[in-house]
Amino acid sequence: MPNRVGIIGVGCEGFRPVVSDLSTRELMFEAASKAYADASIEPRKEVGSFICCTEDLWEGWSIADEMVPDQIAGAGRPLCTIAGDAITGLGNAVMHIQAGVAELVTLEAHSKAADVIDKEAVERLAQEPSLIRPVGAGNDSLAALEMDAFMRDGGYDRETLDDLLIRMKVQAMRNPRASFGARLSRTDLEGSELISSPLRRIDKAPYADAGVVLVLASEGWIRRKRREAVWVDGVAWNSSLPWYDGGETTRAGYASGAYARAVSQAGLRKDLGAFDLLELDDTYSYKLLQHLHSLARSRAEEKRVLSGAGPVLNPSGGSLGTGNLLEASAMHRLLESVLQIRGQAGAMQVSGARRALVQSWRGIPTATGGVAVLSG
Amino acid sequence: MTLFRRRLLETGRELSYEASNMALGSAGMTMKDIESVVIGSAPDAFDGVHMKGEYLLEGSGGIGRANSRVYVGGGTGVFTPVGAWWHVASGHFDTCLAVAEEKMSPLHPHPQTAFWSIFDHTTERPLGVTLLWIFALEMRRYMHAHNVKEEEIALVAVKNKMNALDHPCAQLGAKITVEDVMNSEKIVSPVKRYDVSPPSDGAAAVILASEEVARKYTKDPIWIDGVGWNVDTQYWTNRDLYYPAYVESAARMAYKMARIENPRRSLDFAEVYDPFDYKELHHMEGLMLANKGEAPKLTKEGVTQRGGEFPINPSGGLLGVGNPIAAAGMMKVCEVYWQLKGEAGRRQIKNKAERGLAQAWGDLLQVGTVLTMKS
Repeated sequence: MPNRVGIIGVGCEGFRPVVSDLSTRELMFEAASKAYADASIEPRKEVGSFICCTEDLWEGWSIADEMVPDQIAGAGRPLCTIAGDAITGLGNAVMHIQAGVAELVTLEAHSKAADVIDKEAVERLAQEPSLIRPVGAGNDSLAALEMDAFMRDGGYDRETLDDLLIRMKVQAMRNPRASFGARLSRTDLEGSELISSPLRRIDKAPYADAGVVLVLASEGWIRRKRREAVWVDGVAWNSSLPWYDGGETTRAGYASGAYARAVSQAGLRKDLGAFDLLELDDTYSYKLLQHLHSLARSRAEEKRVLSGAGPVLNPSGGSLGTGNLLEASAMHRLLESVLQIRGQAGAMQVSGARRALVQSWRGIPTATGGVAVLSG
Repeated sequence: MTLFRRRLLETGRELSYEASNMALGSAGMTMKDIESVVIGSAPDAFDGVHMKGEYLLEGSGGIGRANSRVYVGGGTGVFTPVGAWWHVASGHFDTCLAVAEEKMSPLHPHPQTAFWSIFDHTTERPLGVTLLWIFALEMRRYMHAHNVKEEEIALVAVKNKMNALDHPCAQLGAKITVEDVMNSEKIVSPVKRYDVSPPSDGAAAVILASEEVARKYTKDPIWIDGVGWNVDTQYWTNRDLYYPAYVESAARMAYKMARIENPRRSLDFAEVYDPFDYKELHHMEGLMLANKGEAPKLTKEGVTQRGGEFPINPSGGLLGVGNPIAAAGMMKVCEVYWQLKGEAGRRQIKNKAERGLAQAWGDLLQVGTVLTMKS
C-alpha cells in the first residue's frame, strides 16, 4: 500500500449488555478521550478528519452524523458518516490519509443497542421492501435458513459447531470486555431455546453497548513523532449476492473477495498460517464457521485452525462472548487485535502476536463485509 | 440524471440503476470498468429501508465490488463524488462510480415528517420542531443582520425557476414574478411556498477515474481540483445563524487544494445549494463569492443571472429542478460538468466556463460540502 497507515491510539468504553449510566454521546466522548490520551495527541489541533460508522435507525436519529461532532472533538472540522461497518470505515480512513486529506484521522463506532426498544422491527426494515419483507420472516429466520443450507451443503455437523461455540464462550471468560463468557457443555447448548430451526438462542450473539475509537496516522507522521504504531497492511471490503437472491450458502463471497484484496495489499499469499490470530465475525455461530471456510484455502487449513494448530481463532471470545455491537462489532475486533499486537491483551494474550486478520460482516440481510490485515 | 419529480413510480434501486446506466453510457464504459462504488442517499426514513445503502447496491452496481455509503445529510449529494475522489486519489482504485439517489415520496403523510427525527430527542423534539421552522429562524436572522427585504430574496426564486425551464429533468421550472413569490402561501414567517424547493424523487451519477484511465476514454476530461467538507456543532442554537461559517471552512479546504486565492476571480460560475431562496445568498457569502451582506445586491444587479458576470445556479437549482436531497447535490455536480464540457445546451453560460464549483449543505444548519472542477 502506498504511504503506510498506522493505528496510534485506541480507546473504548462500555462493553456491557446495558450501559444505562451514559448517553450515546457520553459513551462516544469517553471512548474518544481515552483514544486521544492513548495517542498523546491534541485532537482539536492535530486530527484532520473524523469518520463515524453509524446507521440512522440504530441511533433513533435521522442524519446521525449531526449528533457526533462535539463529543469526539470534530465540531467545525471535516467529519462524515460512513454508513457501514468499521472495516469499511477503516478503509475510508486509510484512503483519507493516502489521498492527502489529513495526516491523522479519527475513526469511531458505537452500539447503544439497549436503547432500541424493538430491535427485530428495525432489523426487518433492512429487508428489501417489495419482495422479501412481505414474506414476514424476521432476520433470525433468514439466518436459520442460511444456517441450515450452509450446514447441509457444506457437510458440517452440529457437533463441530457446538464445539466451536463452547470454545468461544470459554475464551470470552478471559476477556474483561466480554459479558457473555461461560463454561458450557453440549447439554447446556441442547437446552437453549429454539429461535428458528436449527438456530438456537445460544447460536446468536446477544446485543451489548460499547463505544470504540481508533486514531490513525500516516507513516510520515509516525516516523516524525517517533511513535509506535500497529500498521494497517491491508484493508478491503466487498459485497456479494445474498443467498436469498441467488448467492452461495457455503461461501461468503464478500469475505473471500475482501480477503484476497487485503492480503494482496499486504504483500502476502492467501495463507492463514501467516497470521498469529484471526478475529472473524461470529454474529451467529454458523457464520464463524462459514467465514473461516471462506478464507481458508482448503478444508485441511480450515481443520487446522479449528483444531487449534493454526492461528488462534477469536481469542477475544468474539461477538458470541462480547456481544453484538452492531456497526461497532468490527471496531471491537480491531481493538482486540491492536491490543494483541501491542502485547496488551492480558490473560487473552496470544504469545508473540505480530500479525492479525480481522474480518467483518454487516449482518442479515446483507452480504457485505471486510477484511483488515494488521501487524506490529 | 433521471427526471426529478414529486412521485416517481420507480423504486430507489431502479432510479439508481437508471442514473448509473446513463453515466456509464456517457463515459463509454461498462460496469466491468468500474472498480468501486460510492453511494449517497439521505435519511433512511424516506424510503423506510434500514441500511439503505445495502438496499441500493443492486441498482448501483455495488455487487462484487467495494462500496461505501457516505452520508452528511443534505450535503451528501456533493459529498458523494468527494468520496469517489478519495477512492481514486488514494491510489486504491482507478475508477469509481458515484451514485446519489433519493426517494422521498414513500413517506406518508409527507416527506417533511422524516425531519422530525433529526432533532435532539431531549431538548428539541418535545417542542414539535420542523425543518421549516428552523430555516425560517435562519432566514429571519440573515435578513435582520444585513437589512435584506423579502422581495430581494424572492429574486433568487424568480431567477432559478426561470433557469429551470431549460433543464430537461426539472420538476418546477416556471416563469414567476417577485409578486408571485410574495403572494404565495405563507408557511412559517417569513418562509413562503415559492421560497422553498419541493420534495422530489430522483437520482444522478458521475464516474471518476484516475488520470491514466481517464485519458483512455476522453481527450478532454473534467478534473476535480478541490474538495472540502465541514460539520459544525450539533448545537445550532449556540451559533449565529446569519453566516454559515462551516461553508466557509469547507470552501477554504477546497480552495487550498485547488490553489484558489480569489474564488470570484478563479471560478467562472457556481452551483450553490438553494433549498430555500435565501440559502443561495447565504451560501454565496459563505463560499466567499460575495462579501457578507453583498449577495442580495449582486442578485439585484443581475450578476448571478445566466448571462451575468458570475452565474449562480444556471441549472435552475433546487428551487427549479427539484430537491431529492442527495440527488439534488449530485445534480449540481452534473451541471458543473456539463457547463465545463460545453454540453449544457440552452443553459450554457455565455461567459467562459473553465472552472466551476458545486456546493451542498445540510444537517442541522451545520454541514458544508464543496467541490471545484476545471476543464
